[in-house]
Amino acid sequence: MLSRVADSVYWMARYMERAENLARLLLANESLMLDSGISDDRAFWEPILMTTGDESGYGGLYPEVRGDYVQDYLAANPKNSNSIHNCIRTARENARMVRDQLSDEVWRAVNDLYLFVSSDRAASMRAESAVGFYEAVIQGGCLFQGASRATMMRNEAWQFFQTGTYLERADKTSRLIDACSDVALTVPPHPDARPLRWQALLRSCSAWHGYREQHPAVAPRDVVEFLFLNEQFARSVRFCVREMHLALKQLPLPPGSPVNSPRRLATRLFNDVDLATVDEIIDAGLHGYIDRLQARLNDIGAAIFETHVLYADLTPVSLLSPVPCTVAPLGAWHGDLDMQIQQQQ
Amino acid sequence: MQTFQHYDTSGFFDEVFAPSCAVRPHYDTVVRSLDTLAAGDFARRQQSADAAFLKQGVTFTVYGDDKGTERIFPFDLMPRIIPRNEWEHIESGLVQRITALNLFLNDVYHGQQIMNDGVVPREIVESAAHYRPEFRGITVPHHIYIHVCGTDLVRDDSGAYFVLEDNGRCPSGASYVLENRQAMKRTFPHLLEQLPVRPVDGYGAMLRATLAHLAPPGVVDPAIVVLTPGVCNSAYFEHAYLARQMGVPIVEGRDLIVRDDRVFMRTTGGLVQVHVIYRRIDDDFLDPLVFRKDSLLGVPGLVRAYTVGNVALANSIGTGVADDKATYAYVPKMIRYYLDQEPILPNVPTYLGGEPDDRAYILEHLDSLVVKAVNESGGYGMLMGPSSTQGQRDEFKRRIVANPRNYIAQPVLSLSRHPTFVGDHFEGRHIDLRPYILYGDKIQVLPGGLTRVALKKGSLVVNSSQGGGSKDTWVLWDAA
Repeated sequence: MLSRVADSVYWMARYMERAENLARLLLANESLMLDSGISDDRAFWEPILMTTGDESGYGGLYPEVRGDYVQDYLAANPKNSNSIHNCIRTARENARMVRDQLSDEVWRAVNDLYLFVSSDRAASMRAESAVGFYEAVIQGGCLFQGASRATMMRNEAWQFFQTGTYLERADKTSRLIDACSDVALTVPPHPDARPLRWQALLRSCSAWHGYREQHPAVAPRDVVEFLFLNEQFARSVRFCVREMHLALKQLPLPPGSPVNSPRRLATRLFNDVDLATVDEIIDAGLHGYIDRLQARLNDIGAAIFETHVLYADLTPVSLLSPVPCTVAPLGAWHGDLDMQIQQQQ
Repeated sequence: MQTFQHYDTSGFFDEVFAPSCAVRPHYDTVVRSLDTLAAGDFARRQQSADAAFLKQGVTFTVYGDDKGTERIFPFDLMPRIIPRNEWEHIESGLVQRITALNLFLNDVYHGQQIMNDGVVPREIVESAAHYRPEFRGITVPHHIYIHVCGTDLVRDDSGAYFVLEDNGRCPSGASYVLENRQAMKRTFPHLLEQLPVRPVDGYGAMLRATLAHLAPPGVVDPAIVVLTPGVCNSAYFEHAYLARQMGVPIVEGRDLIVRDDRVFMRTTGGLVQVHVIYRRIDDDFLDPLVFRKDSLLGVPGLVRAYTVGNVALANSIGTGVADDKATYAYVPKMIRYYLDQEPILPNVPTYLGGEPDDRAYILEHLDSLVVKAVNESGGYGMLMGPSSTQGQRDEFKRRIVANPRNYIAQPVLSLSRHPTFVGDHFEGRHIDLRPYILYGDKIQVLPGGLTRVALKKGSLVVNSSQGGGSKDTWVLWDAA
C-alpha cells in the first residue's frame, strides 16, 4: 500500500486513541475532584497537565493552573495541537486523506465524532457539565474501535491501524500511571482520601471492574501490576505492546530497510515487558521505568516512519538520474499546512 | 395542482410547464407525486437529504476561510428530467463535438493543417493561455487528448440546447451526479420505481475502462491512479470518491517518484510502477521541472516520462487550447472542417471581432450584445449591452476597432428555468447542464449529468462558489 496512506491510517488510529484517553483522564479526575474535597486546584491539576506531555504550551495561554482552564486547554483550545478537539480533527483529516481505504462505518464514526466536538451542543455541554462531554467522546471512540473491528479488511492497512492504536494506548496507559507516581502521592491532601486517586486511575482506564474481580482492595502495588502486566486487560501495557508487536510482525519489510526495524524493536520491548515483574518495576523507580518505556515507544514510532515511509526511495530501481528538486514532506497530516490552491473547472 | 398553484412561468422557457401552464408529459409523474405530499413533507425530506450529505462528508472546502469551512453543495430534490428523444440529440451532439476537439488538438500539436488552411487563425491558437507549443510533435496514446470532458449546455427561450463552453482540462462534478442519485433513491424511492430512469452507477467502471485503454503497449493489467493536489483542495471529496468507484489508489504528487523516465509510487513494500494517471492537477502544477518551479503538488520528471510513453496522462497536457474562449467560437468550423458535418448542438451565436461582417454587426448592435475580451475571464473586460451607458459603448467601439481580434460578442442569454424548492414553496430558477463525456476505445456519454441551478432569484450564475446548487438529472429510457 502507499506509504503515505499507511502513515495516515496509523496516525488516524493514534489521534483517535489519544483523544479518547484524554477524555478518560479528564473524566476520572473531574469525578475524583468532586469526591475528595480538594481545595488546592493547582496541586491537583498540575500533575494531570504534566501527564499529557503538552504542558509547555499552557503557560502562555492561561494566567494560572486551575481546573476549568486545564480542562479547556486539554479539551478544546485550538492552540493546543493535542487537545481533544484537535486530535479528533487531525484524525478526521487523515481519515479524509485515506477515505478510500476506510469502510463507510469507520468514516462515519470519525466524522460524526468530529461534527459533535465542533458543535454548539458540545460547547454548551462542556460549559454546563463537562462529564457528559467526556462520556460522549469516550463513547465515540469506542464506536470507532468497534466499527473498525467489525468492518475493516484484515489487510496491511489494518496492521498499521492496530500498530497505531496499541502504540498510543501503551503510551497513554503508562502516562496515566505516571500521574500517580512520585509527585502525586501527596494528593489528595487527606490521607484517607488517597486511595480515591488510585480508584480514579483504574476508572480512567476502564479497569475498575476488571481489577475488582481479581483484587479485594485498592492497593497501589496491585494497581500498578494490573495496569502494567495484566494479560487479559485490553489497556494494560503488556497487552498493548503484545498487540503492537503482533501487528508489526505481519508487515512486509521493504528491501533495504534498516537493521533496527520497527519489528525488531517491538520484539525486544515485548520480551522485556513480558518478563518483567511488578517488584522489578517498582524497585527500578516507577517514574524512571515509565520514562524509559515511553522513549522506546517513541523509537518504534520513528522506526515505522523510516522503514515504511522514507525507505521506499532507496529501493534498488537503478538510481541513474534522480532529479534534484524540492518535494513536499512525506507522510500523514499533523496540522495546517499552506497548500497551493488551483482553480477548479 | 396545489403545490404549483402560485408558480410563475412567465418570461422564460420553463422545463416543467408549457406556456399554457400544462405540465410537459415527461414531468407528469413527478408533478402528480409532489402534489400528493402533505404540506411540509417536501421540506422535511429536503432537510434529511442535506443532513445525509454532511454526515457522509460530501462537501467542498470554501477557500479564503481560515477555519477551513466545509459546505455541502446545495442540492434541490426536484429532479430535472430529460426525455429520450432530447437526450439522443444531446448525446450525438456531444460525441460529435469531442471527436472534433480531439482532432483539432492532434492537429494543433502536429501539422497545424487547420491553421495553414486559414480555418482557425494562427493567432487565436498561439495566444491561448493554455497552449503548450513545447508539446508539438509528441505522440500521445491513440492520439486522444481529451479523455474526460464536461460540456456546459444551456437552453434558450425556445427550449433549444446550446453549448456554452467545453471543459477539457480537469472538469469536476461527476461525483455529485452519483451522490445526487443516491440521495434521490433514499428520499423518493417510489418516484424512481415509477419512472424508467437510466442509471448513472456505471460511471466508475466506464472511467476505469477509458483509462485502462491508455496504458502503454504490452501492459496487460495497468496500474491506474488518481492524482490529487491533496486533501486541502476543494474537490478532494470528488477525487477520493472517483478513486473508490474505480477501485484504484488516490495519490498525491509526493507519493510518486520518477526513476529512469518511469513513474513509481512509494509503497510500504518499496516502489511500484504506475502506468496511467488520471490527474486532477492543472498543467501548471504537474511537473516543477517543466512548469511552475515552485509547485509542491507535482512530480519532478513526470512530463518526460509521459513524452517518452512510459506513463499515460488523462487528460493530456495542453488541452486548454481547445476550451479557450476564443477557440470556442471556431468549434462549429472545426466540426465542418474535420468531420464534414453540420454541428448538431449549436454554439451560442458568437460574433468575432476579427471577421469583418461580424465586426460590423457588433458595432451596430452594441446595445443588445454581451461583448467579451477573449483573454480575460470572470467578467472583466466585458460590456453588458442592454445595461450599458453611451459612454461605455463608445469606449468599447474604440477598443474593438483598435484590436478587433481580441473581442467576441454574444446575444444576452435567457436561460431556461426549473421549479426549485425555496423555503416552503417552488419558484423558477435558471439552470444549465453539464454532461460527462468519456473518450477511450469508444466515446460514451454518462446518461444524465450535473444540472446546476442558480439558487438566487433572477441570478444566471450557477457556480457553486456563487450560490449555485445542483439537481439530479433523470434521462428517461422512453421518449416523452
